[in-house]
Amino acid sequence: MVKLKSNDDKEFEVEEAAVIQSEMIKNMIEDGCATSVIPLPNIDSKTLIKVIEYLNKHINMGKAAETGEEDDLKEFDEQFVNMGWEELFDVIMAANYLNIHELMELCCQSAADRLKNKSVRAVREMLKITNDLTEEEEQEIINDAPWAFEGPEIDDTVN
Amino acid sequence: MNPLIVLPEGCISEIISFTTPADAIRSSVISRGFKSAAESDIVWDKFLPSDHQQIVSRSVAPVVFDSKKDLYFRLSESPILLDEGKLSFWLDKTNGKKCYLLSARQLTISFSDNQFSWEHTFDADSRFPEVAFLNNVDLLDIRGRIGTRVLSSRTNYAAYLVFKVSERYHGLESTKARVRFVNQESEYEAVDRATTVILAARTPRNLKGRLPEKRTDGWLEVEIGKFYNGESGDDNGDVEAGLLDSRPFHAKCGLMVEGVEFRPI
Repeated sequence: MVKLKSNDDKEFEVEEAAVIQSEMIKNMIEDGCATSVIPLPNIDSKTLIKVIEYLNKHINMGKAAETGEEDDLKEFDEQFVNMGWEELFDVIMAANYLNIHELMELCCQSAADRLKNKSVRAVREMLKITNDLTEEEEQEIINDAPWAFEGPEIDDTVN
Repeated sequence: MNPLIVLPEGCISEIISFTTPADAIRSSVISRGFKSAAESDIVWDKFLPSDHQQIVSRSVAPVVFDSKKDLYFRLSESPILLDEGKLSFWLDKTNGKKCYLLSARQLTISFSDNQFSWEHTFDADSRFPEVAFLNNVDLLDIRGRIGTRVLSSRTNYAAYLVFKVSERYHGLESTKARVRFVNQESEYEAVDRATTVILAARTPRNLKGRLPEKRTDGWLEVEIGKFYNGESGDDNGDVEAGLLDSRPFHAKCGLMVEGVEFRPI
């Protein structure tokens, strides 16, 4: 078992087989730097619980393919990313920090799917972003590739 | 609170790399932070074909670019010539899929070594040094072949003949067109399901067949056929797009061939 500590001082015990899906922790263990508790100063307990849930479910990924549990795993993944933007970004940051490739891919794909075909206005509103580009800078990008700003597939709704 | 401010730029790039080129370009207009993330090589390297370096290294003229995005724009805005100028390559700008135009010199054309039948000449509209001009043949047989492995996988493609006709053309009103996977289907089988194209006709109303369309580059094109290029793992070998008119005692002349084009639909 490996002990992880979140930035709000909560400790979690995780099976080594699960936790080594994180390249960062795997390297720490291999280098002998993971003797007691591994502190994770960038991750709060709420996000860490999500990440551990993912790691535990994916612990036997290779086995799942053999036993036909792939569908089950797919369903888990779909449910897993069913979260709000802020939570999703927290998990992305954690996955990036811990270097968990599959989790990073899953979450980025989900974020990308939500942004796909959205209009500029819609993305700004969805993610509460203030535009800090000048009108000239904006126009320059549009003039370079006007085709990307046209077409019936562009979706101006916020959801 | 702005939730995105906390995301490092690399993570935003990572997310954008899972979208499409059009989404990435629109992302650049969202804010300064997004612009920088959307222009990153992480994003555009994913939109470029995985073998782009190998392709670019075959270019006749050196391809100069500052970034992967720059290279993507360069390759989708104007074709480059490969392999001593016999092959033209570009990217479909909306999805980054690979497009090729095989020059007439790259095609197999019956009697093309006989100058009374076919002539290789210069044409100002051509992107190649030479085009093929049909003086006179009885058997019109033009084929273009390309390896399915060099095309984009999991993509619907169509093959087109790119051509012009001179004023004094003859015998171009009923040509058989077909596409086949060379390893999977014999020529005879493919001929059975060939469709008819009308390369040129003075009274096309009375004829049945696919008509050519005007392109923006001064040429005409007619679809030879469609095919699905599957997973890169299952090697389908070469795909061949061919036109055939073997009606005997029926002279064909006045066709100028730029090449055969393979592009996604």
